[in-house]
Amino acid sequence: MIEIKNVSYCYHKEEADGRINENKVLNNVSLTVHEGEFVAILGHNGSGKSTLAKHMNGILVPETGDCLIDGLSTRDEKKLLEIRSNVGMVFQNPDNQMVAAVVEDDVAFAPENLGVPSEEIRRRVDECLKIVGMWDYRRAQPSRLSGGQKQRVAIASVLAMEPKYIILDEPTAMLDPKGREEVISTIHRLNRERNMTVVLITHYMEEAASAERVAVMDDGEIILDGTAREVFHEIEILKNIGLDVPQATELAFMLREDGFNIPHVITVDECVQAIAEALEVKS
Amino acid sequence: MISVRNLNYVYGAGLPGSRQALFDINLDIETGDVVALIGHTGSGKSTLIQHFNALVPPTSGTVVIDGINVTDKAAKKSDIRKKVGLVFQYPEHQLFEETVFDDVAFGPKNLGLDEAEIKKRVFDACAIVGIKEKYFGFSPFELSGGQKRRVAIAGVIAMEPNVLVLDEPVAGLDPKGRDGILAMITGLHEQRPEMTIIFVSHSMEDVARVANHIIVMNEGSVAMTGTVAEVFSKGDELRGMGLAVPQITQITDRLRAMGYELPPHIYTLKYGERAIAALLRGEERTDV
Repeated sequence: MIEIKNVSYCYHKEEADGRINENKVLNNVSLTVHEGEFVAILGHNGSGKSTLAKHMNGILVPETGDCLIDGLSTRDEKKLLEIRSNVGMVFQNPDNQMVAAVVEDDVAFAPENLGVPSEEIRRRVDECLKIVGMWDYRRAQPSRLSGGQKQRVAIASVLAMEPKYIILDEPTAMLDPKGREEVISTIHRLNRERNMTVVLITHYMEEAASAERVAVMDDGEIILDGTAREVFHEIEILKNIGLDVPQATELAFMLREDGFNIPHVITVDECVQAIAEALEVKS
Repeated sequence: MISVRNLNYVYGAGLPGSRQALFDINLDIETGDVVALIGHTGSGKSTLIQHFNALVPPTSGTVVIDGINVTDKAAKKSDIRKKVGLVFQYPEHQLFEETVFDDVAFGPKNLGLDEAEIKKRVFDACAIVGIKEKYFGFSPFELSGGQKRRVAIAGVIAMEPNVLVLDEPVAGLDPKGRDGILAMITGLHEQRPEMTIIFVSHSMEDVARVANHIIVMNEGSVAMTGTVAEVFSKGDELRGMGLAVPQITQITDRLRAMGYELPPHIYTLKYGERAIAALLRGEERTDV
């Protein structure tokens, strides 16, 4: 379980005249992520979502409040190694995460550093590359891969530590639709088949719509937290803070505003079905 | 007017491991058009636009922009780059001056313009991208991601190119930042109708909002060209190339396949909603 309890955090910036400027990015945030959950965190740039993610494996430590991973506080420096081997992170830019010249060496990097025996490393590397569908590329150079393939290698490299939790900070922001689909379906499979706990930070409403739970951040606070269906029902709140809803959801909303009896939907399938039903009723 | 004729490009031509990135590209882009260039990663989009301002020489073929053959080795690169402004992906990584004003003024200064003209261009370019005067003295690094990007784009607009090429101008921005950039492109087109704008995008929703024409690249070739309506009417082909049509188009395509009478070419939410509302009211189909 990841427990964020009343966490506040400021970035400090030194002005030209030597004054220190405080910029509060997290304001008394509380969030609990249970084992096996798939949680998407939405918010515009500067809303604090990446700062929150960096608290989840102790890259940042709260100024006030606590961040506990399976009961271990990220304030306890002696526990940081244990926390970090349990909470893997994948970042936005795949090029910044590759450390080796060959794919399988990249995946082996973390277990090597954890002192895992070499036979076990071999087993993990093969297994993790198979999970993300990159085993055929095990001897390839990372620089020759597409963005989606690089991100899947980055995910495999994190999995090789055998973490319980995986935090992904906008992993698809730099990818094309095909790369996005590859990465998102890989994450869903990990969650479904391996019961991996997933925290996905994203701008893409369609990606959030596929999560079981969505938390929305604005101005350093969590302003909505619920199922994807519940959260996307709050179209006006989301629009007010500069976020979108999926087009299918917005279409159903616009039709309701025009007086038609169309229920709240979050996917294309649901939307088509709802409109078809309304047309059936009419005829 | 941009004319591309039989353009081929091979990375590492003549070396082991060489790879052909562009295959026999032929294209015509009218002056003042707003064109979206789409295609999955590795389809050749970036390689193509790098030919537009002579960043890479073609292996064979020509690119002629307003009568100048930019692929001619004898052509003066500085003239070409005055004509064609290229905004790279994540252009904010290239900001370097101490103030927003200086950063935008950098290009015009290098053109050897006088102070008054430089100032005018900085004011004009910043007005187009929506950067207010109060930010002129700020360090570019104090701005938000979306603002930084707009400053970087202003730096290219201040060169007053005939052709503006933007490589994935909204990548990595949140919806608000994205809307700001898209509105900027639309505004720029209204204010400078003679400027040709070409932008690379992965988002069909964004393309539907801003572009007049679409060029679809696939595996290094031009797979489709046409108006937004023409290209989006080929949903199955686009999906086959790893691209997706907007959700509203998917929804109306599926309703049409179920036998409901909807007008063709629906790719914006507003129009789609009007058409479906009319259907629900039982009105006669109107193709407007």
